[in-house]
Amino acid sequence: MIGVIIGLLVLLGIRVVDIQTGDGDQYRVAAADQWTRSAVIPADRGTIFDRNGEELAVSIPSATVSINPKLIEDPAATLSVLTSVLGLDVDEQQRLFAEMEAKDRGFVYVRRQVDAAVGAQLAELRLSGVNIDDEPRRVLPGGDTGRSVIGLTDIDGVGIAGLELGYDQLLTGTSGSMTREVAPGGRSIPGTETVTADASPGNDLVLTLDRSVQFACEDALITQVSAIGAKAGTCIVMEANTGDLFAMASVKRSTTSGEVEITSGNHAAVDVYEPGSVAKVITVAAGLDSGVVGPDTTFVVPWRREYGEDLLEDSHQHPDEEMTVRQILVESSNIGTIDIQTATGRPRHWEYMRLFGLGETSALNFPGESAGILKHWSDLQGSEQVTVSYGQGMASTPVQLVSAVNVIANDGLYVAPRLVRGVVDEAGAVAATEPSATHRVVSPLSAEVMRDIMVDVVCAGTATRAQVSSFNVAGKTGTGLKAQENGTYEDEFGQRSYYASFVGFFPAEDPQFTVLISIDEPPAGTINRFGGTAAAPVFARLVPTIAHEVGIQPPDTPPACGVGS
Amino acid sequence: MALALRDLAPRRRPSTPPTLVVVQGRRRRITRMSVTVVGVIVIGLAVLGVLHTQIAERQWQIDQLERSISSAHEDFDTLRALRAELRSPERLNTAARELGMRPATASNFIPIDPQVLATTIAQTAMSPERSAEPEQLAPIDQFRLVKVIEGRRP
Repeated sequence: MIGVIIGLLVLLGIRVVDIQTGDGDQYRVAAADQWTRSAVIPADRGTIFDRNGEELAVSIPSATVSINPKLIEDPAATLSVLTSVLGLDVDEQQRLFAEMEAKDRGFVYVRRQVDAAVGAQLAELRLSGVNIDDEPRRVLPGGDTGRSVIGLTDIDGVGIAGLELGYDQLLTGTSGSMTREVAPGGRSIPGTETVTADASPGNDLVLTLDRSVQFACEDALITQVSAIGAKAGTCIVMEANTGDLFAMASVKRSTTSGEVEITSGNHAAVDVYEPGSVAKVITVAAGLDSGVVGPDTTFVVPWRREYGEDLLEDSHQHPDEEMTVRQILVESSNIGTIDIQTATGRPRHWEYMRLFGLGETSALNFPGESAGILKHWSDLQGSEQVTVSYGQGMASTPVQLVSAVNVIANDGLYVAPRLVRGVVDEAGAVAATEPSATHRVVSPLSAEVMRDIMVDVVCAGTATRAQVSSFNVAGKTGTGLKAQENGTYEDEFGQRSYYASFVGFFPAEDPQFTVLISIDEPPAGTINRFGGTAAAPVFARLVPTIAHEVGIQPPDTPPACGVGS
Repeated sequence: MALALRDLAPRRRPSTPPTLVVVQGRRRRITRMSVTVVGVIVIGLAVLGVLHTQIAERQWQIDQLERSISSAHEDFDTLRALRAELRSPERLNTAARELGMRPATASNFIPIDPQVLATTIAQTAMSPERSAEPEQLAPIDQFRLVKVIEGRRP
């Protein structure tokens, strides 16, 4: 008997030794698997700041509620608690109850990214089979302000539009991992969490946008687009010598509600339009800079002329008249502008258009940004060969257009637009981005002459509604025709659609900011369809706000025209 | 007679030295040594236990501290989002409109009489360049400061 017991003890001992040595690791892992669970620690996505360090997009703590139906002991009671805390609707309740009853899945989301306090409240209840995990939520604390530019992330925190997409890699951190022990009911045992790898937060972006200027632009656009019954609007505010974009706003009328809203897409960088007469700035500057015309060079300009099969016209009927280059721009004569282009030569005019930044994507490199449409001069057919001189037969994005006109404000130097000012790295240091690239387009003298003519456009030409008290303003209006689906400028009912714009800068004697306002499809057949009536007043409304926000003092000399002159 | 003989007979010396005494002393030494060893082991185990307890306690404190840091960080993120919301132009605009304010229909820059400006500066001892508000860190600088400190964490 004793021998048998000793024998059994020996066998037991051998087995114990075998388990501890031979298969020990395997069993230890299996045991650990039973009482521990590993989890991903989500990395904080970087914050997006405006130029003054105000948060535009930030990730805040939130909780995600999920269930393991296999571990739920009382489906009805659990569902009742979840419904009362999370406010589940009937469809959600039915879906969850079916999952709890079926018990064929080990993980089902109840609700993601709920308020952290709600998650803590649920965690306190320690419901069997109910998991509460941390999951940061992306929010725009300023509401919709800047939404078009910032873009958005999906629910997993991955950038899917705008700068969130363009800088996704930089903003995304590296996730960490942790283990925690669980009780037999599947509940986590508090205090047993062990971090196995720390999460590393993403870098932060500092934009060139100014939140207040951005808001002012959006507010002014919404007001104007609503008031005149237009389809959409765009506003860009660019610092003349750095290319920094202080605002880049897009609004559009909702097809469902009819309300004008801030768009989720950045139409200022993505959409292309035939800019119309604003492009005359390029043609006249090219003529002046190449020396073929001066501001007082004259042309005999009829109100219309035939080109190929097309009869091209000025905006209004007038007798053949001798017009100076200055008059041509101030009165926005299409025929006169064609004459300047002809004097300059089409190849040279095309080269200037390229130098002004047309026909290629800007340095913004915004996701989905368009290069516009600028055919090589030798590829242009029929009347397009000359209409490009006044902004028809070519297309540009609003950001291309504002950068082009900014050449005149910046003493003839093209400065690439910029949206990102710097990056805050993991150690909290700010690394400033490279200054915008520049290149010479026209001479400072040509730019100065152009500025002088463009002041006249505001004082006595098509843009009188852009006048501002205390500041001299220079600018140019544009009323482009929109191409219809049938390839012409008229739809099947003979109706035309317009793209009204104004690009101006101030103070004209020492330009600090260039501002583009465009109104898409102002009501045809009304006075509000023109750049001077639809867009210029928005500019006038914005200038005092920008000056106040940025701290621009009016010059000592009174403005040449406008209120207070 | 017999008694006398017994008395006269030479006394037999014990054949072995008083080994009993020696044996007794060794045993006592062994016992003392054993007690000492056991005592040392017990004390060692007790010290080890205390050390383990202290390590566990310190670890617990570290865990608590890390949890507090994490919680404070979450609070910081939540609060700065809230602050950004409160300072946002959209909210200020809405709040102002609720108070009955409306955007100005026109604005103008008014030159200030240098005499008035000089008098104001003299009376208030305020430089026009300086803000009346106490200087405080900008939101991004506060954020960077926290990031710098967190970056130094072991």
